[in-house]
Amino acid sequence: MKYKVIESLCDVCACCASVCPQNAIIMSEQKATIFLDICIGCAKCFITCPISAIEEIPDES
Amino acid sequence: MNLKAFYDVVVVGSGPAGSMTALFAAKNGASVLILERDREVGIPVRCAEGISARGLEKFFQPDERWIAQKIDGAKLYAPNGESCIINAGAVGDGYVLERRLFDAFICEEAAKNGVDILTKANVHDLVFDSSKLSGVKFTHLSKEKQVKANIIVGADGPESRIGKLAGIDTTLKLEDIEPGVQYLLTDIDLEAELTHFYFGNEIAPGGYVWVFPKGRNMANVGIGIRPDRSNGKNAQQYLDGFIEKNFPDSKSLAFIAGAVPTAQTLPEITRDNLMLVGDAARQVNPVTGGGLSNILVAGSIAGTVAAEAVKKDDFSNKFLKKYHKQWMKEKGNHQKVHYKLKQVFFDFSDDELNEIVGLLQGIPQEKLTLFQLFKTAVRNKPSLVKELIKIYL
Ligand SMILES: Cc1cc2nc3c(=O)[nH]c(=O)nc-3n(C[C@H](O)[C@H](O)[C@H](O)COP(=O)(O)OP(=O)(O)OC[C@H]3O[C@@H](n4cnc5c(N)ncnc54)[C@H](O)[C@@H]3O)c2cc1C
Ligand code: SF4
Ligand code: SF4
Repeated sequence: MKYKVIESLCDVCACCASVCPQNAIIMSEQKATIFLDICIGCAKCFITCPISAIEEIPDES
Repeated sequence: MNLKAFYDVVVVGSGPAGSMTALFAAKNGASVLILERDREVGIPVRCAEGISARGLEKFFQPDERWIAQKIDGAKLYAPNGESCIINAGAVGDGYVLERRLFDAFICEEAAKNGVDILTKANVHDLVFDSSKLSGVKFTHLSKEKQVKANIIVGADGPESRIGKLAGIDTTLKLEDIEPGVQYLLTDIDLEAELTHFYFGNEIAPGGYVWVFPKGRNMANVGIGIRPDRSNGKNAQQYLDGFIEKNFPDSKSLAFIAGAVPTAQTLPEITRDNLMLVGDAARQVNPVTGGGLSNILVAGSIAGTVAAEAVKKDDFSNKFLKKYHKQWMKEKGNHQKVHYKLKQVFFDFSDDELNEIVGLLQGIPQEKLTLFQLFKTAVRNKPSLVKELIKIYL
């Protein structure tokens, strides 16, 4: 399972980027972005986001 | 504004860590540039804005322009609603700041000392000459730019990306971060000269709820929790439940999310040509989550050492490590004890928390200090009590 940021909800707090073991999350002034090619799906960002602005990407198939 | 192509020191981040480092480096003769991603220094405020009088007054005279409320004690609430007030000793004394203006004030002081500041500048990479760190790349108003420097300071907050780019592992373990949210609420009717802390595993698992008054019946009402103990609820859901129960008629004027690193100082906060300061270096008090007083100290040391490095023309890790050593001596070693305390404190069951507050209620208020609180909390761990005595008495 991989994850993505719901950009309209993201408050740019950087909780997710602080815990990502892959450094797969990059912050800008407006939002966090998850780079899926390096994400390993550990879900740490997902459970850390204080406002649930990260969601699962349904598996294709 | 005309930026130079080269500075002695380039600081990434204009929070208190960055601005203090810049101020002290510039005061001691270095040329300094601060790069800040946001459009304005001090905004948004991801902070409950509390600071001890001692921590603040070590560096600045309190100024009514950026003080919202004088505080003379802390009220702790057990899960069963019982409470006690800690206001003896120096610890009770403090302020709730107007951090937007406080951050801007330190930056102004830095600017007066010659520091250049550029906002809307998002640093996204480091520049290396052969293998020597020699500058940063940043985006400013959609343009790619770079600036060279002898020292790069990562004061970029909890994310600590500069450290990562330099090859230092700054990733926080889930037990070492408190994701938080906070409302600025009106119509809060609580003692305004006290800060209020609410504990309990149903209220804030692995953390606490705070109410920090800002005068005129307004208060910062926020929460930090342990993500690995959150039982599928996020920090905001816990806080909303608390507010509905305790302040049902309040109204929200602002809302923010934020990250509190409750870790210990990173094993490495300097490298050749590099220093990490503040949340980026994990210098927060891991029990309280308070970063400001520690960070003012860290920034002052880092800036002073950076300026010395410039004078000696020595930017090696060996030289810059002076900053790390002095930080450990002044604050870092205390932080280690506080980290152990955190591990005990946030493991208490609700019954144990009720018992602790019960015991504290038995101590006369004029004797109730922060040290008494911690001593009571870890009374079954004599070795930790001994370490606390060393740093508090
Ligand atoms: C909800 C909450 C409540 C808190 N309450 C308190 C409290 O009551 N008392 C207390 O003492 N502490 C409190 N803290 C902790 C305190 O806010 C922090 O320790 C402090 O703000 C850290 O300062 P800093 O300068 O290290 O980082 P920050 O204040 O986070 O500043 C970092 C700056 O760097 C900028 N930046 C980041 N990356 C880049 C980049 N790539 N390029 C350019 N700029 C960048 C950011 O925009 C930001 O302005 C709280 C924290 C939170 C989250
Ligand atoms: S933790 Fe959530 S709100 Fe915070 S930056 Fe990441 S996605 Fe945005
Ligand atoms: S799921 Fe894990 S690896 Fe992927 S972005 Fe989130 S924290 Fe990083």
